[in-house]
Amino acid sequence: MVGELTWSRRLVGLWLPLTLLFVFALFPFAWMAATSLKANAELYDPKANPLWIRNPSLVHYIDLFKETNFVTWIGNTMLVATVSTVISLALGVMLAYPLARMRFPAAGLLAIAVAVTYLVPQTLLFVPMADLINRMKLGDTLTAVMLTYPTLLVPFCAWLLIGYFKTVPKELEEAALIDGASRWRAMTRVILPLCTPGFLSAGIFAFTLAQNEFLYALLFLNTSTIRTVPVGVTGELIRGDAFYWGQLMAAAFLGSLPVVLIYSFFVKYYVAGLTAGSVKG
Amino acid sequence: MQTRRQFVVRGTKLVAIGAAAAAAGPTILVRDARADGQLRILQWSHFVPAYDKWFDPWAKEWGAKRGVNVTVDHVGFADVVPRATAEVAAQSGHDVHMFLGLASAFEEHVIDLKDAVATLEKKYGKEVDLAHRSTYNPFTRKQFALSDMWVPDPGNYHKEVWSKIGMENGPSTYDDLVKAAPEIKKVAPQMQIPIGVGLSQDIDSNMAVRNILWCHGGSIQDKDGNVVLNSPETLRALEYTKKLYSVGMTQAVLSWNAASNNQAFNAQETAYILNSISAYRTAQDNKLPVLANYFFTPALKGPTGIQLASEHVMSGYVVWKFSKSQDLAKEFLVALVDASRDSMLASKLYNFPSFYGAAAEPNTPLNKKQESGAAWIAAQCNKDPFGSTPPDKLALLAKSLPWSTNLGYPGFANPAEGEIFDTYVLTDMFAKASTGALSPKDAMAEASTRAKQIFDKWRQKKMVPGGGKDK
Repeated sequence: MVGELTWSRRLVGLWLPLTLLFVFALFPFAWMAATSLKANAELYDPKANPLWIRNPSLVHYIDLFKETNFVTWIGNTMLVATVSTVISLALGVMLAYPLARMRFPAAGLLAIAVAVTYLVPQTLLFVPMADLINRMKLGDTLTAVMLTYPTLLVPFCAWLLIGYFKTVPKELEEAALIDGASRWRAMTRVILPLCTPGFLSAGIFAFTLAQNEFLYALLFLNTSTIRTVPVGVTGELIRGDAFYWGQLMAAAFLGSLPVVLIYSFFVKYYVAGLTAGSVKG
Repeated sequence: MQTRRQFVVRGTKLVAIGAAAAAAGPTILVRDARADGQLRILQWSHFVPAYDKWFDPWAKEWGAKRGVNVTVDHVGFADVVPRATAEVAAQSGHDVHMFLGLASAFEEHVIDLKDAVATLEKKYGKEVDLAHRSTYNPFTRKQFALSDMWVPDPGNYHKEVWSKIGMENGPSTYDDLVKAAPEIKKVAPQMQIPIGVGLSQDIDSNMAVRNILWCHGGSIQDKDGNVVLNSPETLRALEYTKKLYSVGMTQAVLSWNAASNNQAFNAQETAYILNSISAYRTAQDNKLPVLANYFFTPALKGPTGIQLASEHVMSGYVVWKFSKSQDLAKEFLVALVDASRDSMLASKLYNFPSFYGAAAEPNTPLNKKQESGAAWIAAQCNKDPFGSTPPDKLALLAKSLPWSTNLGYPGFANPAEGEIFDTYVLTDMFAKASTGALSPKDAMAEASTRAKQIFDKWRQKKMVPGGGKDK
C-alpha cells in the first residue's frame, strides 16, 4: 500500500522531476515557436535570448502563406496521411486477424515475416519502388506516395494489432459464432469494436509516420503543388546556403499541430492500446 | 454461415475496392505529368528566390514556343546529388539535372554534350577555363555537363573589426588569418569564432579546405591525374590549419552546415568567412546591423605565393542517357546560355556567365564578344543595381576570374575527384589533423589511401587517367 506523501517528498519525488521533464520535452517546441515569431533582425542578433521575443512579428507566417504553397502542402499531407492510414489499417486488420485468431500452418512464420518486412530499410526499397511507380506512370502524383506508404505501415499496423487481437477472449467470438453469426459478422460486430484502442494507437502511429515521411516524398513528388510538408518546406525554404529559419520554424510549428491535436484527443485510447496485454497472464 | 474462404474473398475484394478508389481519386485530382513532348528539368532552389521566379516561367515560355511542355522542379541543394543517385538507380525521372559542384561522378550515365558546347562556342567564343575544366573529361573526351554559370568565392570580412587591428582592407594572406585571430579576440570578444572557416562535412568546408591545400602548393591530383595528396605541401597545409584552428576557431566549425558561416557572419560572431555573396544579400534584404561593415577580399595568398579559390558554385547541367528528349534538352541548354544577362540580373549578380561572350552587347563581332561580355559584367559589379553602399562594393568580383579555379585543380574534374568531394575525404583529413584526432602525417596518409582507392576504382572503369606517378 502506498503511504501518504509529505509536501516535501511530493515536491522532490513528483513535481520537480515532472517540471524537468516538462521543460525538456517542450524546449524544442518553445524554441521553434519563439524563432517563428521573431523578425530576421532579431534572429541574427547574438545578444538576443533565443527563447525571449522582444518584438513579436507574424512576418514569417505571412511570408509562409503568401510566398509558398504551404496551405496546399498541408492539405496534401493530410490527404496522403489519412488515405495511407486507412489503407494500412484495413490491410493490417486483414493480416493481423487471421494471424492472431485462426489456426493454420505456418502462422507463426508468417507473423515473423511481417516483422522482418518492416525491418527492410527504405533506402533499399526505393529503387524497385521507383521502378514500379514509373511503370504504373504514377510519378509526380500523390497516388504514388499513397500506395507506397502502406508498404511501410501495413507490417507495423499488423504487428501492433496482432498483439491487441490476442488480448480479446476467444470465448466472445465463439459465442457469436454459436449464436449464428458469420465469421465476418463476428469480427466486425464483436472483435473490432473491442479493439478500438488498438486501432487508434496503430492509426496515430501510422498517421504520424506517413505525415513525416521524407524519402519517398522526395523521390516521387516533384511539383511544388503536389508536395507534402516535409519535402515542400526543405525544398523551398532552404535555398542554397541560406536557410529561411523563421519560415522553416513557422512551418514546422504549424505542421506539428495536427499530430499534437490528435494525440491530445485520443491519449486515453492510445495509452490503452499501447499497454494492451501488459496485465494479462 | 459464411465459410472461411468466402470471408477471405469478400474481405480482399473490399480492401481492393477501397485501395483502388483511394489511389484513383488523387490521380484525377493532380496534374497529368505523363504527357508526351515534354522536357523535365530538376535543379536546386536558387539562393535568390527571384531567380526561380524568372527561370520557371522563362523555361515554360521557351517550351511553349516549341509546343513543348517544360516542367521545372526544385529541390534543396543538399538533395541534388541524392536525387540524381535515385533517378539513375531507377533509370527514370527528369531529362535535365543541374549539379552545383561536380557532375563528373555521374559521367557514365549522361550523354555527351560536345555538340551543344560547340554551338555555343561558335556563338560566343570559349567558355571560361574553370567551367571547361569542370564539365569536360579529357581522358574520355566527353563533355559530360554544360555549365551556364559559376559563382565566385571571395573572402567576406568585417571591416570595423579588421580596421581595429590595423588591417582595414581585410586579410590578404593565409598567414594574416593566424596573426589576426588573437587580435580579433581582444578587440571583439563577442566574436566567438574570429575566423569562420568550416572543417565539417559540408559544401563550403569542402571548398575552403581545397583553397588552403592549393595555396600551400598541394593538391589531390596533378595535372595528369596522378594522386599526389601525400606530399610535404599537404603536410604544411595541415599544420597551418591546425594552428589556425587553435588560435581562431572553436569546435563549432566541425559541425557547420552550408548556412552556418553565413549565419555566424551575419550575427557578427565571426570576422571572416569564405563565401559567395549569399550571406551579403541576406544581410541586405533584412537590413542587418552587419551590413555597414560587410566587405569582400579576393582569395588569400599562401606561403607559396599561390592565390586561388575554388568556385563557390559551378552549374553542371547533364542530360541523362535515359531521357527521351535529349535533343530538346540540348536546345534548352543553349537557350539558357543565350539568356546569361537575364540570369545574372535575376540572381542579383550571384550567377556569373560561364560564357562571357553571352553577356556581350548585341551585334558585337565574335572575336570581341568575350571582352564585351566581361565589360558588361564589370559594369554591373562596379555599380551594383541591387543597392550596395558603396555602389562598387562588389567590384572585386568582376576581377575574380584569375584567382578562381575548378575542383580538380591543377587537373580537370573527373569522377574520382567528384567522389572524393562527395565523400568529404579532404574535410575529414583537415578536421582530424586540426583537432588532434590524428597527427597531420597520419591524417594525410589516411586520406591519401582513400583517395588512391577511389582513383583506382575509376581507373579500372577507364574514366580517369594517371596512376603511374601516384605518391
